[in-house]
Amino acid sequence: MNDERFAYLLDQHFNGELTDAECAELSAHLLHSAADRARFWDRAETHVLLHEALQRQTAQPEARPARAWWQPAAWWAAAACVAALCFAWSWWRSHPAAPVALAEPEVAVVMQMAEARWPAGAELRPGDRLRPGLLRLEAGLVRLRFFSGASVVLQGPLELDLKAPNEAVVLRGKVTASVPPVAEGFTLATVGWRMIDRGTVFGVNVPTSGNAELHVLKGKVDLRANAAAAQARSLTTGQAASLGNDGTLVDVPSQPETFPSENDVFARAATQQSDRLVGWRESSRRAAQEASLLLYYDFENADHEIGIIRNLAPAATKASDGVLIGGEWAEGRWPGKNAVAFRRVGDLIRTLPARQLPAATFVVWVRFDASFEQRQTLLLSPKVGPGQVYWLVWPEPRRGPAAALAFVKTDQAGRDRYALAHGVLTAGGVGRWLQLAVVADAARGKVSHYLNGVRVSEQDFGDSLAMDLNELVIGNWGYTREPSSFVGRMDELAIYRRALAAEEIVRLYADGKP
Amino acid sequence: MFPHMDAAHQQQVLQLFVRHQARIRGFIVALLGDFAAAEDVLQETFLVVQRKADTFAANSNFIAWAFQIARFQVMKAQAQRRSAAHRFSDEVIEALAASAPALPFDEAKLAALPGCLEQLAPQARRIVELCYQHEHKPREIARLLGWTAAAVSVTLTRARAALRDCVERRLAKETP
Repeated sequence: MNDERFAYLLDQHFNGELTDAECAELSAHLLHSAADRARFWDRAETHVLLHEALQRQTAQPEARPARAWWQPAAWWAAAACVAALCFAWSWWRSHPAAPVALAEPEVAVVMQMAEARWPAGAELRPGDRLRPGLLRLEAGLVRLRFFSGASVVLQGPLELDLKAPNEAVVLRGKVTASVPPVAEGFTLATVGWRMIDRGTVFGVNVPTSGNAELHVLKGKVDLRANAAAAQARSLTTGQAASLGNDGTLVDVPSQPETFPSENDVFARAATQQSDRLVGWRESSRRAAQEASLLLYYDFENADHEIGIIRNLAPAATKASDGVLIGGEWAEGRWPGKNAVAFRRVGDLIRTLPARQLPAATFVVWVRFDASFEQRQTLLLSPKVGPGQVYWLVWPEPRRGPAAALAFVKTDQAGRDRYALAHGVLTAGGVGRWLQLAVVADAARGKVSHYLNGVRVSEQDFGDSLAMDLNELVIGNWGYTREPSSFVGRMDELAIYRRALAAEEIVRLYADGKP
Repeated sequence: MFPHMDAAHQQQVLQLFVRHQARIRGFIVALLGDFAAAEDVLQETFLVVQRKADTFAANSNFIAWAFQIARFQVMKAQAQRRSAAHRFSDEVIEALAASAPALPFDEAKLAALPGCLEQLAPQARRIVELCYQHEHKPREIARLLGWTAAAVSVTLTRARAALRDCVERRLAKETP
């Protein structure tokens, strides 16, 4: 076979771009010639090593959230892992390429976003830290603060390659940079140009096809073309230029209004959040009518000063209202939504639901504000003995840095039975609003944990004793001196007298997602 | 032979997997020609390795055993792909797997690569990064840079050839 043709076909294969006909042609040769098979592996080596070498340079879990724990693809594997082996698995997941990969420093923080749409599995939220790497935004507005101090508004569809705390490359989309004096020198680049801030607000637009444009809204920007022959230039307030990849530069009319401003993000984020809050209120009113609710706190119908949280479940008794001891009122998932902030060891809510339940579902919206290195109690029935339950964050330092969710019940013989979802709470989850749920189904003898609407574990509990929910403590561990209290915020809690189906929990997640 | 799985043995097998995972991933990437799909197949392979750990005889060739599992997982993944385009038949995969080097993907070559990448022209390097670091296909890179897909493919081919030569030269220099 013609060497050049064979090399071309191999390249097409490794590029993932073989056509049907080319695939048939390549296959025939690979089947019939041992020499061609040897050449296949020879070429494959370069391809594979390049991938390995460049992946080792990446190590940017936040900028490539595909590897993060909240991505659904990771779930089934985590759920499938056998208890004793989870450590190896999670170690492997968290070290995708190199056993000792030094993570590159973070370059920027996500500040606000409005109607942001991200690629599936790569959702970012305010507060997320970004490492060097490619950031993709499908639609909407997002504001980043680089660690140099530069503030950048992104408008989707956009692809931005984050390089350093003071540098990024715009591959596609619209970006407005507001650079305070402390970050002077902040640089945005395109494929052909570098734009170096000299104290400014400026916009860069890289369309899908055609030239990039630079508009200086205020101040001064130095321009350098990558093409060697081209001249350096500076643009000042009210100037704009169209930039060719070959280094050509043409002045164009300035259109500052076509670039998104910081105020656009603030205003649209506020509108979107108040819309989400209104939407949640509606679905919350519907959810409160569910007949099987034992307890439903939305933390909205509360007497703040006296510290009574009303149980909104149908046929709720006064005794099942929550009494807040310690704790503080704080902002919940959206501005205008109430939450309780638990900070100190003694902060807790007490209530008397007065029921023994063979099956129950617990659903809560919480934000953890401390790391998962300590045990944290979400709720427990304080009376020691058969039927006692507790639900908590369960650190497992010997397995790895991620903590488990645990649901525990004391059986007839006085032994604790555990249902654990290993390794589901990682550092990335701190500071985010999360929906946690436990379905304890005595009839099937199963206990399932859910995180953000996704089932992360299902275990045979091997015990059908009813749960003692006569009395409940929320947010604290009643007995020991060792601090096991929840540190964070809670803004919705529901307990059902039956096992909810997976679809019901997903729906609750969708209704309450911040 | 063993009715119950020996936990220590299983742990050992999983450690072997972790140690050789870059090779196993490489084997899958080579056969599939698709990084994202390869990552899924690697996960499947891990789960099967975990399940079948007790069938691995201690002190035998782990890579050969793992490749065999990976090969079946590649075939399974191929069968599930919707389009027939760019899909090797089981026959081709078997022939390729049988002729795979016993210890592919040389560590020394991997170590030489970063230095060679430095020597690439900026545009070529950018394209190599977009392809191998960001896992874009040439077609996507073309769209991002406003090039034609053919120009990107040619640049990639040349860059790979240059890197291969550079790595060979560096290794030749090191060995007396």
